Amino acid sequence: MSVYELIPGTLELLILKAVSLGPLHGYGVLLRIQQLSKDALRVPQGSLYPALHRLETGGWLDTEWGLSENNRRAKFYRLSTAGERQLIAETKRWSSVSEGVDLVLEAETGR
Amino acid sequence: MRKRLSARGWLRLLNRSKYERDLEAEIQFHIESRAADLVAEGLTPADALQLARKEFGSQLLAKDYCRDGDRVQWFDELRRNLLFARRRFSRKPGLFTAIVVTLALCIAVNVVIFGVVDGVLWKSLPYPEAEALGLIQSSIEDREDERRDYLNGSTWQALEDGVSSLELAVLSVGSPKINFVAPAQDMGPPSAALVQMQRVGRRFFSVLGVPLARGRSFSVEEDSQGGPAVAVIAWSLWQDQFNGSEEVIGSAMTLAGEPHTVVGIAGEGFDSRVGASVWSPLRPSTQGEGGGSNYQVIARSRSGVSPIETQVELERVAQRIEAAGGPEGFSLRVAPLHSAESAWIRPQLLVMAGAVVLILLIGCVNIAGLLMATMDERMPEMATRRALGGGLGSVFRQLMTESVFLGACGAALGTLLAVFGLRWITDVSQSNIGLWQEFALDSRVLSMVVSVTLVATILFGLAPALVLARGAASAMRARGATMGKRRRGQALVVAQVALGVGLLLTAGLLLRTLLHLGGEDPGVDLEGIVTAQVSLRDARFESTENIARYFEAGLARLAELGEVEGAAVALSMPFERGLNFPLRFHSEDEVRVSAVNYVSPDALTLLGVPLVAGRALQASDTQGAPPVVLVNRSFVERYTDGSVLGKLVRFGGGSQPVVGSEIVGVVGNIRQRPSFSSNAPLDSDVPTVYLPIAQVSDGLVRSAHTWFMPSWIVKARGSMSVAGVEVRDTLNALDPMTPVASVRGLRDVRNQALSLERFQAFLLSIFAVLAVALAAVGVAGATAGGVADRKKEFGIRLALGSSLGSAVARAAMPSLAMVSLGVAVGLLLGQVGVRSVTHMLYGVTPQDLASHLVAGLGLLFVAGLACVVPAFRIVRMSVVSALQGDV
Repeated sequence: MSVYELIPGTLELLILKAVSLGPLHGYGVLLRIQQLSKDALRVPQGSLYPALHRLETGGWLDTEWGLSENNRRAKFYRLSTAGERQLIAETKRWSSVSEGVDLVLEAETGR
Repeated sequence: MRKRLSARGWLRLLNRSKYERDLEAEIQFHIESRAADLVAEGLTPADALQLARKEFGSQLLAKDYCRDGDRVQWFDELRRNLLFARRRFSRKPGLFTAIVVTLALCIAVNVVIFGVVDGVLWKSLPYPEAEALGLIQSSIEDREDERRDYLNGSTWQALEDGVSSLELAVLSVGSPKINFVAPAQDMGPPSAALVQMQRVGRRFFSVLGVPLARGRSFSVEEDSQGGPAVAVIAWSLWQDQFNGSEEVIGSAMTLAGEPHTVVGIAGEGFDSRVGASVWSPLRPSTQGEGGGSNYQVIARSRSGVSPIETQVELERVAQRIEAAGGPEGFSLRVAPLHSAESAWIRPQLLVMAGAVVLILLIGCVNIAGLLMATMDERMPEMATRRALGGGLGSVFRQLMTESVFLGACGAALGTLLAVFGLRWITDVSQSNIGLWQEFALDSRVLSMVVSVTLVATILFGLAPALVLARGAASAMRARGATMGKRRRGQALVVAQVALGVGLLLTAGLLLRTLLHLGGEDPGVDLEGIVTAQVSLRDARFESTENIARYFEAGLARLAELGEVEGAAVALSMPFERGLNFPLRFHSEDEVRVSAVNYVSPDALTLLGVPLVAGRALQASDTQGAPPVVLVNRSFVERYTDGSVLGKLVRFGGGSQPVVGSEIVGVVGNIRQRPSFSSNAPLDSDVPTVYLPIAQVSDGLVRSAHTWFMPSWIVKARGSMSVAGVEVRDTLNALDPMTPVASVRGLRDVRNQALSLERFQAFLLSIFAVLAVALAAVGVAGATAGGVADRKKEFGIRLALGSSLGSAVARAAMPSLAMVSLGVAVGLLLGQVGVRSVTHMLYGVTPQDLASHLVAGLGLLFVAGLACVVPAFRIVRMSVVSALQGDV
C-alpha cells in the first residue's frame, strides 16, 4: 500500500477528527491518523505541532498536561465545544468538496 | 480558517517563557515516544533517537512555526522591536535628543495653533443646537462682496414684522463698560465698579437657547422706549456682588447712574462672547442709535423650516425696505453665526495654520534626513537581518516601530510644551485680541496631538524605511545605495531651504507692515503720556454742563500733582477709533463724514500735535463764546480746496438751521484707527474735527458717550507708572462713582491697537526662525553625511597635494548649490505665502524688495554656514586613516 502526503489544508480537519475520538497527546494524534487511514496518510511531523498550536490558540482545542501510557508527562489535546462545531462544519465542507471533485472525475468523455 | 485570539492565547502571550518551556517539553516527549517505538521495531536506542530527530526535522524551525501559528507574534515582535529601539537610541543620545526635540517643537506649535483654529473656527458655539444659529447680514447689489453685519432700526423692525421662519433677537453692536454700584453696601461710602454691559432685545436668551438660572428675561414693556429700567446679571456678578443671595430678583442696583431692578440671573458659565456681565433691554428704535447701523440681529431657525423658505421671507423684507426708501439693490441673508463671527480672524488663523504645517513638514524632512544619515551604519545590520531570513515586512516593521517610538517620545514632550503654549495663547488672545475662547488641553486637542504625531511619524518614518528596506534588499551592496541616498538628501535640502525662505519672506512682510503701522511718525509725542479712561455714559453726565464741571475739577486736581507736568481731556485717544459724525459746510448740502473729537484746550499741545495754521483752542472758547473748531490736515485735503479758515461747519445730517462752528485752526494728523476712510488698522489720513468740550452739544455728548469712554491725559514728569498711580488715586477720590478703567501709557494704547498684527507678526517670526533653524540643522546634517561618504575621495585628493582650502570648498559645494537652488525655489514658491497675506499688508508691497532680499540672503547665509562648518571636518581628518578606512 502506498503512502500519500496530505492534501494541503486537510491536516487541521484530521486533527480535529482524531481528537474527537478521545483526548490525545501530539504523538498520539500522529499515530491515530496513520492508524485510522490504515497507514495511507503520512502526517509531516514538522507541521503537526504548528497546526495543533494554531487550533489551540483559536480555541478549538483544550489542553492539559497529563501522564502518557508509559507514565511520561505529556500535553493532551481535547476537542472544545467550539472545536466540535468547527469539526462538523469542516466535515461538511470537505464532503461537498470531495463530492464535487468526484463528480468532476466521474464525468465520462463527451457523447 | 480565521481565528481570533482566545483567552488562552492572551495568557500564553503574557507568559512567554512558560510557553517556551512547554513547547520544548512537548517536542521532547514526541521525539522520545517515536524513538521508543523505533526501539520496539528493533533499532538500537542511539540510532532510534537519531532517526526520530531526523524524522521530526529541525526542532528550531518547528518551534518557530508554532510561534508563527499563533498569529499574535506581532505583539512579541513589537516588544522585541521596542527593546531594540530603546537600546539603539540609548547608544546614540545625541541623535535621539535632536529628533525628539525637533519633533516636540513641531508637535507643540501645531497643537497650539490648531488648538486655536479649532476653538475659534471649528468648535461649535457654547449653546444648544448652535448650528441652527445665524446672523442676519445685509448687502447692496453692486457690492455683493461687502456684507454688513450691522443693521439699523428700521431694518430690524421690518425683519421682526416680516420673518416668521426665524426666531430673531436684536442686540447692540458695542458693549461698553459702565459704572455699576451694588445695592446696600454695609461699609463706607458707596463706590462704583466698572462692568461690561450688553444691551440686548428681550428674545436674546431664548434665541441662544440658554435658560436663565433665576428670574426671567425682559418683558415687551421693559424692552420698549420709556419702559422700566431692568437688567439681567451674570452668574459671577451674582456670586461676587450679591453673595449669591436668592433675594436678588426684584432688588435694585445702580447701572450708569440709574436705579435698575434685577429681573434675572444668567446660567452659570453662560458666555455671550463679549465679556458682558450685565444685560439691559435694548429698546430698539428707528431713531437715535437705531437711525444708524448699530444693531446686530441673531437668528435661530425654527425646526422644519427650509433655508429656501427663510431666504424667500428675507428677500420679501428686503424688497419692502427698498420700496420704503432704502438703498437700491438691498438684500438680506442669514449666515451661520459662528462663521460670520469668526470671519474677522479667519485669514490670520489660516496663515498661521499654514505656517505650522510647513514647520511640521520641515521638521519631518529633517528627522527623515537624520535617520537616513544613519543608514550607512545600519546597512550591514539590515543585510544581516535579510540574510538570516528576516522578511522585508519585518525589517519594515522594525523601522516603523523605531519611528513610532520616536513619535511617542516627541508627542509626550510636545504635549507638555503645548500645555504652556495654550495657556499663553489663551492669555494673549483674551486680553489683547478680544477672543473669548479658552484654549486648553482637552480631548479635541489631545486627539489633534495624536493625529499630528501620526502624520509626522508616517512622514519621517516612511521615507527611511522604504529606502532602508530597499537598500537592505540589495543585501551587502550597501555602498551602491549611497549615490541614490545622497541625491535624495540633496532634494530634502532644497525642500527645507525653500520652505524656510517662504516662511521668512511672509513673516518679513508682516513685520514690515507692523513697523509701518506702529513705527512711523504717530503725529503725537508718545513720551511720558499716561491716559486713564472713565465711563461717562451715566445719568449724572447727561448735560455738557455737568461734564465740563467734572472735567474742570479733575484737571485742577491733576495739575496739583507733583508727578504731573500737564493734564488734559479728550474723547478719543490717538491710535483709537474716533466717533464718526456727519457734518456739512455752512454753504453746502453735501454731508461729509468726519471723526469728531472733543478736547480740553491744552490737549493737543500736551500731545505734541503741531498747529499748522490759524489758532489753537483757548480757555476762552466757552459755552457762551462763538462756537469754533479745529480740523486736521487730512480733513483739509479731503474736503476742501485748501482754504478752510473762517469756514463754518454744522454737525448732524439734518437740514434744520443750526449755528455753524467756525474753523479757526488746522492741526497735524494723528495716527488713528480709521473706521470709514480705510481698512488699515492704523492710519494718519483720518479727517478729524476737534471741538472744545464746553461747546459740545448735549446730543453729541450723549451719543459719543454711548460708545466711547473719554480719556484723561497727563504728561508725567518722571516715571510714568508712578504718575499713573497718582492719577488713578486722584480721580477715584474725586468721584468714587466714576471709577477709572485702565491707566495706560500711550505706547500701550498703540500696542493694543495693533495687538492682532503684533500677535500675528510675533508668532510668524517665531515660526520663521524655527523653520530656518531646522533647515540649517538639516543642511548641516546632509553636508556632514556627504563628507563622510566621500572621506576616501578627500583622503586621495589631499594625498595627491590638493590644498585643504580647495578640499573644504569641494566638500561644501554640493550642499551650497542645493541651498542656492532652495533659496531660488523658496522665493518663487514663497509667493503663495505672500498672496495669502497680501490683504494684511500696509505700507509695504507684496513685491517688497527688502523682505525678499532679507529672506533670500538670510537663508543663504545661515544655510551657507551650515554647509561650510561641517565641511571643515576634513581639516581634522587624518589622511592615512581615511585612505585605510573601508568607507
